[in-house]
Amino acid sequence: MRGRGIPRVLLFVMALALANSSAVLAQLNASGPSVNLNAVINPRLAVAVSPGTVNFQLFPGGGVSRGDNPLTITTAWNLRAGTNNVSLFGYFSSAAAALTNGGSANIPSSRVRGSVNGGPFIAFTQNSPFGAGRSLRIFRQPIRRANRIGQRNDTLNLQINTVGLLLPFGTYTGVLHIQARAI
Amino acid sequence: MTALALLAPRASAQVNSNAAGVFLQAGRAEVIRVAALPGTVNFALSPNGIAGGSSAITITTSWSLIPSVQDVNLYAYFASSAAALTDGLGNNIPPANVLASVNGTAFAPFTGNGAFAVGSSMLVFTERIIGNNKNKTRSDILDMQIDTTGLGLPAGTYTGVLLIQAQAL
Repeated sequence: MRGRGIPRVLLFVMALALANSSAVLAQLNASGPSVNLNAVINPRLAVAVSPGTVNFQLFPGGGVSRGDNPLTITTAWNLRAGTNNVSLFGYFSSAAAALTNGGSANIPSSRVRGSVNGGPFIAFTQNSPFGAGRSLRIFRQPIRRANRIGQRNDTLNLQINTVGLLLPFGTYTGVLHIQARAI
Repeated sequence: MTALALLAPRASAQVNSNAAGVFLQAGRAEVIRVAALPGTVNFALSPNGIAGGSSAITITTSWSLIPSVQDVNLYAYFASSAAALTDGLGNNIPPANVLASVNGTAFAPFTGNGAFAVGSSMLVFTERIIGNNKNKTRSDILDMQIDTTGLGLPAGTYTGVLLIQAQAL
């Protein structure tokens, strides 16, 4: 009888082969597609200033008057790689009339001065991307990889020097613009 | 005579050889295919919040399987558990911050384990194969979100590849 039929050893091997064969066939991995994901974070550069109004008590005969409150300026940014610096400027729309009484009497920007973070008072006569001859640079912050996301606070004290202007009595108003640029 | 005497017993005796077993397997080819559209999903990211993808992904899975297959699983996954998307400058969005909703269900992050990736995978579906679905095509919708909350990512363009792959077991 041992010479007839399929030997047990062979049956075992065949069964093993069948089992292995089934296992291989039963797992099938499809080669799948891929979907490209593109996500963009746009650069951000924001400036906030407080308070929104600064009052000056001007001297009738001329003199240097300080604003009643310093400005606190918060500059926040999130910038792309390749941005080299952030600069913040204060400026007036007109060099001839930073403040005006609405008539013909004006206080030019050269008579308005600012002190940044306790530094010396400097007239608004500088050039900037936003105004030539009527600006004051508040800071220039180099940007590196570590500070592409950043924020800083600065203080700006203001003065008005009316010496020699011979201004008539009245109320003089103006708008100081504060704007940042990343480049 | 001698020769005849020798041959005679062999002619009259019956000896059977062993029977060699040969497995015959006549199986049709198994097929499982996956297609996904669109090929690109765009996100306008908030620096610190959740942004939805520009389009949902429609995934079509087709199969023709042998009776021994029990399940078809479809996975979506990222190759890296650290960086699903990157700006190429060392700033990454990990799979844990990429979420997907399958067929309108709740959004969940790509943090699962799958057949093709550990910790960066999501099971899109499991379908048990029974008699009437050995040959089938089905479509599933994958909506995607990216949550940048707390990542502190700088501005830039982040790119990545979502892989989609099926497995029949």
